[in-house]
Amino acid sequence: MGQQKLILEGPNDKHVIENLCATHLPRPKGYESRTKYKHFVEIGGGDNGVLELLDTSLATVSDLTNIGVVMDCDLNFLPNKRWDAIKKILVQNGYSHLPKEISSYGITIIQDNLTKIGLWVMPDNTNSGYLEHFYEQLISPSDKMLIRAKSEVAKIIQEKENRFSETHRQKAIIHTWLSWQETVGLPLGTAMNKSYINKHTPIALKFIEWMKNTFDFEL
Amino acid sequence: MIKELHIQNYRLFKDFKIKNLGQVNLIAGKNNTGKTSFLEALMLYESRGDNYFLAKLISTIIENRVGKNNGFTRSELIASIIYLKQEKDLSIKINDLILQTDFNKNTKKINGLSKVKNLTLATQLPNSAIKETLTLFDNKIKNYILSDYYGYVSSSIEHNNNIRWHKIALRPEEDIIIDALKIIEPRVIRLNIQNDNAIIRLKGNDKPSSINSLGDGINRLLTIALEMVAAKGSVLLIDEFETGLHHSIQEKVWDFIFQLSKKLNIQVFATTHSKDCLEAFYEIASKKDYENMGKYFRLERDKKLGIKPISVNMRQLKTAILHDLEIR
Repeated sequence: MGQQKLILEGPNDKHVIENLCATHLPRPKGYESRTKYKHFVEIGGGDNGVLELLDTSLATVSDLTNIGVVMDCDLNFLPNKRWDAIKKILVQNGYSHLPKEISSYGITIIQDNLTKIGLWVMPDNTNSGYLEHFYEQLISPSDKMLIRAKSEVAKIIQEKENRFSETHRQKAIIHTWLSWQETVGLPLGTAMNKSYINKHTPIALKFIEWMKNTFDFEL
Repeated sequence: MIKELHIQNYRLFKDFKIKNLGQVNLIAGKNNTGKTSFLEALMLYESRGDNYFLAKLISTIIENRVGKNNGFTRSELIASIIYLKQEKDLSIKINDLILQTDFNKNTKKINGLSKVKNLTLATQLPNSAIKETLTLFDNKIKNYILSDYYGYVSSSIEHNNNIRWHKIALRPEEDIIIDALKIIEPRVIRLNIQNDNAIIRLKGNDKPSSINSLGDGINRLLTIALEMVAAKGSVLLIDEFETGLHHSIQEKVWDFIFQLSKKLNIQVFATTHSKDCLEAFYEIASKKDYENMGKYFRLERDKKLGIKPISVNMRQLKTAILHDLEIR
């Protein structure tokens, strides 16, 4: 049995995704623990780190059967730009006839004698954004504190009092919201186990579908 | 320097090609992917088909592979060592020169080399040559130096350093050897080798001590250093670099090898199984002083080609080490 790897940008992605997977999925084939995905999840370290790790894995590791990649889609471009960057690496490593565009279900590539590849672009393969945009969709839209966090952050930006860059507006909203819960300021991953996070929303289930398409799991 | 290599029909190598070899090459691969055979192919080539040398080489290969008293007849062993069962021609091409056999014409030739001798391969060795091989094998194995064509460090810790030493004793090259030993034991100031026993003098000691008292590592280092000096302007082959070398000194040994191969114009081919060795190699090969000198590749089985190389560049090597990817 060969190896499977899920390549992510950073530790927050890791903790949120691991928690989500532990709720919905059996353990990936070839890995011992269901909750601690040691050696299954690799953190690339930002978008360039992810691309570098994907390229190196494909070019130099012989027994990789499945690779899944989750990347952010920064606010100044669309998910297809990420797909184009991944596509370039895949072509260098022998893949051909790749789809032109990413669908809202992400990408799954199966080709003869080559590693199976999956790509999910945060938050939903359609819009720009990052993990915190995905995270918002695990929170009830009518959550009062969420509405309030949004308006406070908007106000701060409007009054030009923001110390964070505007591209991080959504991070500010989610972390503000987390700091207003019973246990103040839990990290994103830890808060996943609280009742105010719903792990069965449409986006969560769609992501899990992508995981199932990309990897092999124990029955 | 060997830049390109093409091996056909040598043992597992059906049609093996590699380009862009470096000055210091590290070769990994699982068991039975032909690491030792790769070194042998280079030996065959470097010997340029010299009959006498070939006989010596074959006997050494036999000893390395199966040891003595193995229950096989010599000719059985020789036939099994050189992979010519299907009567396919062996060909080793390096840069633009080819060493090859031609069974159809029952002649052997070396294309492009000015010094053309009758290249006789093992299965076709006349009885007299086999006899010569066996005599060498039986009587001279303890005494002879593997080759004047290249340096060779086998995967065994035991190595005959005697003759190499006596060619350089009391010459400037002696200093290189002492410097090498200082990597492991900084107090070494003198060395002598008599009847295979290496003895050293340590700073502050009145009496000489046996090199064996300082552990396996220093013996291995002595062999590497002696073979390197002998390989000046040529090729050094190291089978299983890590033998006897504790991981804490592997970086220093690589540093010594890179430095000396630059100075003495030696091309190095070393095999390994070890992750420590690979990491130590990366640390040194990525130094600015040694830019573009190091090359790492892995041998892998392939249905069509027999064996194929997977090259890993320095950038990929860094990523692989950082993320603990299995690339051996």
